[in-house]
Amino acid sequence: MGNARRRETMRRSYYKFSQSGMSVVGLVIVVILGLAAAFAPWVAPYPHHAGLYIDFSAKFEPPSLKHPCGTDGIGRDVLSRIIFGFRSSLFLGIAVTLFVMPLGTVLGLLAGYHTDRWSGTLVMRITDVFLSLPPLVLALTVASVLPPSIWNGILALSMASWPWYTRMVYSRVTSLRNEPYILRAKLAGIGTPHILFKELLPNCASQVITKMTLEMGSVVLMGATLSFVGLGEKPPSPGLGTMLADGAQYLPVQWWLTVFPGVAILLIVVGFNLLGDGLRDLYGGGDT
Amino acid sequence: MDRRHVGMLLTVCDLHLEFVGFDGIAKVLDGVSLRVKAGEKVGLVGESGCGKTVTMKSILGILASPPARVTRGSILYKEWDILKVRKRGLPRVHGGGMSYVPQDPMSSLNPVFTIGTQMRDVLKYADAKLTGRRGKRSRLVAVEALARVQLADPERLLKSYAFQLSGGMQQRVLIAMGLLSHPELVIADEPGTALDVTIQAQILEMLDALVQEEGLALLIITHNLGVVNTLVDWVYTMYAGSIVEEGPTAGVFAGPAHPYTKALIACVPKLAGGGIGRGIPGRVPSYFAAPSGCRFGPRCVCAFDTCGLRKPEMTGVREGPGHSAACFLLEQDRTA
Amino acid sequence: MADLLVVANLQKQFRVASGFGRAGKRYVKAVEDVSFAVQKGETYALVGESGSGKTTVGYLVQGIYRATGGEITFKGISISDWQRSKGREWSRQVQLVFQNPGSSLNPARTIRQSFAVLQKAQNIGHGRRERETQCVRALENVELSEKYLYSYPHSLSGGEKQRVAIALACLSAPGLIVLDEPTSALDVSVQGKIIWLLTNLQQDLGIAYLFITHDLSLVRNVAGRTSVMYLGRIVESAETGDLFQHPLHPYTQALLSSIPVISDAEKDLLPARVTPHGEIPSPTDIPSGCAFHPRCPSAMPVCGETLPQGIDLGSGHWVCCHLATASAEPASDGEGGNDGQKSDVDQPGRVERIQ
Repeated sequence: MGNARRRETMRRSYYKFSQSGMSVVGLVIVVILGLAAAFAPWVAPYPHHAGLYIDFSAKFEPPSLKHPCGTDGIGRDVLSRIIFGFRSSLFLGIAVTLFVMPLGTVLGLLAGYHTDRWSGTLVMRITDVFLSLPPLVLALTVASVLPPSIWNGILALSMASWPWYTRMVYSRVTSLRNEPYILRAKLAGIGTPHILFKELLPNCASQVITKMTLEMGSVVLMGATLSFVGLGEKPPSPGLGTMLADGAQYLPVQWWLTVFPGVAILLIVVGFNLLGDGLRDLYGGGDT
Repeated sequence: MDRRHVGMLLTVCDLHLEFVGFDGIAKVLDGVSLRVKAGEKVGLVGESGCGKTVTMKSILGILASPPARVTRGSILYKEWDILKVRKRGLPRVHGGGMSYVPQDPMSSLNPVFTIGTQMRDVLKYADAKLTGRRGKRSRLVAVEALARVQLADPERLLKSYAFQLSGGMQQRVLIAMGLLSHPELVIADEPGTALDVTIQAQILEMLDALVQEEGLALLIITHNLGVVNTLVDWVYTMYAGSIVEEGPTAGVFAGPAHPYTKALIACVPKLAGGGIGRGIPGRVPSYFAAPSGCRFGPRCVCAFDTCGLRKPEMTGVREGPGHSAACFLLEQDRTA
Repeated sequence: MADLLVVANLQKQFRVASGFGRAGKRYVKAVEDVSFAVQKGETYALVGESGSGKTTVGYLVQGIYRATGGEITFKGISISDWQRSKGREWSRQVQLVFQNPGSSLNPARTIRQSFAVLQKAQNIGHGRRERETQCVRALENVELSEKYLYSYPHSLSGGEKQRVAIALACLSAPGLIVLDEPTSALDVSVQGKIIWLLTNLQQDLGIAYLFITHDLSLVRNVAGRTSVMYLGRIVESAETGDLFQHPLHPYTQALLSSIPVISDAEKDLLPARVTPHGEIPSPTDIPSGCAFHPRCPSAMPVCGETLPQGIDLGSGHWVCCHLATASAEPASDGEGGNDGQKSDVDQPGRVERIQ
């Protein structure tokens, strides 16, 4: 009984979602990127170029049928490196989101529910401090004091991303905490954990999911920026930001070394943003 | 029946309207016809989901056109056919004498602009001669309009924001804004419903006086039978997208002919006490699978076979001039 | 019949934060010196417009707010004692049905899950099967089919949601249900159904109702006794029929005469039109003396100076107005006090008795 209903809800949601062409475009982009990232070794024309590979005879070749995005300074196929670059960018984005989302959400639930107590105020003031710093600056600062590695990159990005979830969930919870059904549960003696996770959280879920999708774009962009300046992951692993940094010096002659990685980053950000917008329209707004 | 065609300001004729959506096609309006003469006060009564708001929005021309789709019928206001007017042409129609007083004062006034600014914006459309002048004349017109709705200290009010006014005052401001364009027809959506009952009574009295003074036509859309009885002379009852009864207010309320109107009146709590009607069994039908024939059939205690086969026509009630209802019982009565 | 709920000199003030520290403390007197009693199985109505404090009284009785003055006693025990020692028992005894059906149910949970929350908290029913049967039976009581059990609130109409809310309130077989504008958001035809259900439940389970509303014509048909509130105080209180036939306070007369009626015959049942001047003041700025005096068409100089004494006119009719004081005999003046205690009324009002 429940399954049939759930399937119908999903079909209805997809119908509503597909009313906006751009949202579907976003969905398609994200799906393609995801598949490309997951199956990179099979999708990339020259998978071995993603690791250690040197072939000076093929260096700086402009885009051609053999190398649709050209080759770089040591002869590696740019397209394959981009596809593997998707992998590391998406991995970064997902890792950060998976870490930050539960943390930020739980803090937001607690702060929102206990908004009239000192604990709620404390959490929100700390959140406000983090929010007042430009996320990129914060991430760069944190990353610069730590040895460059992918895990430190994730840590830096997490510090810059978590407060947005807290703020959003906080505002949702403060508007819901006086709703009759919450009051009824409280009066009946239901404990706080149940109220937070079983009554309030389901009402925040759609906003959180939309936020996650929209944030992916910014996280990926920030991650690319970090690797552009040399923080975050180290070569020779293909990072889109690193590729941009390496290729920047060869502009404007070997333009393909920067343009294609740049377009790849653009594609990721646009894809997730369009998908996120579509989700926001589907779920009907809120403070995302 | 002839009097109804003379000097007709607004004529909605056999309007059929549907909404296209995921679940299929919702055939909401199933042949709505109503008329408002110049200077006449008409009420459209129905409960939630009956389609009165959709009808009102169609008349105003503000219904989002996909997903809404008119399959038959016309809406004529003076010389315009509202359904054929393009979006750009609507302000001319509204400037040409149709004005709208919305339902909820709280959400109909822009919270970030002063009352004065909002009235000036309305005036820009209403009276083109006022734009260009540095606002002095439009301010005078606005002050006069606010005074007409019995608001004290209109000058100060112009500089106030919506949240500084009480609900009653906001409603008066909305009425004043509605009258700025010197309309001939005022369409009021649930007037006073969001207000306290003593304030509502004041607003309704004022609206009645204004309408009489200026000789305006009034079309009220509401679910409140008491408001309809207070303000209007002619009433249309609506159920599930069709008009089920029409006639002079006193006549219809004293002797309702359609079972739905009868049941509705029985549900209104009476001042003499004695309990309330038990309500009408069942639910408003889904417009995706509306009942064939008379849409009230499944819930009607007097229903018989013909009711499910075809839709009844508006038949005159013997005792009332112009009083008619869409019910086979009346047709039977006629032939009997 | 013993009094089930006794409210005596109830007061509730809210602090309004305005400005910094000491100078900025302002108070809103939401409820001031309210007293009444509800008997077992009766329907008692509190009527008023915005700012009257009627909803606040309902929330105070339920325990959502804590009173700043006065006392509330339920079955002889004070509410604070109930909450302190028998918290869960209290929530089972007194339930609340909220005004807006849309927000009384958690939109992200199915009806079954909403029931489960209460069943778990109030420890009703043991074992999954028993709890399931309980839910089905609760829905049957409000004439809803069990297929709604696994639906989400958004697929129910306003009337159906309100019926679920009533079913949830009746789950623990409470002694008193506070109904806060239960039908204001509903159509007239749906209202009839809800009231009929409430009446049946009252007859079957002997529940008392504290019916809070602004709709006087509704009150005429459901409540045995009614109190009219204005800006936090009770201004008049009587058996419903008596209140309608002989309203004494100008505000009661204004309320009654403002009802939009549907026929001339009904119009004749109302008092002559009394138009109060101006708008309802905000509860932060309550006028001195009798709070209604700035709007009262019959105001006298004394009205702005002192608060009128409440007068008991016999047969449960009580009014707080200088006009009434002026025309009442000196003997019955004063001693009835500000106290609207109705414990000497020996017949509880039931719906059928109203004429």
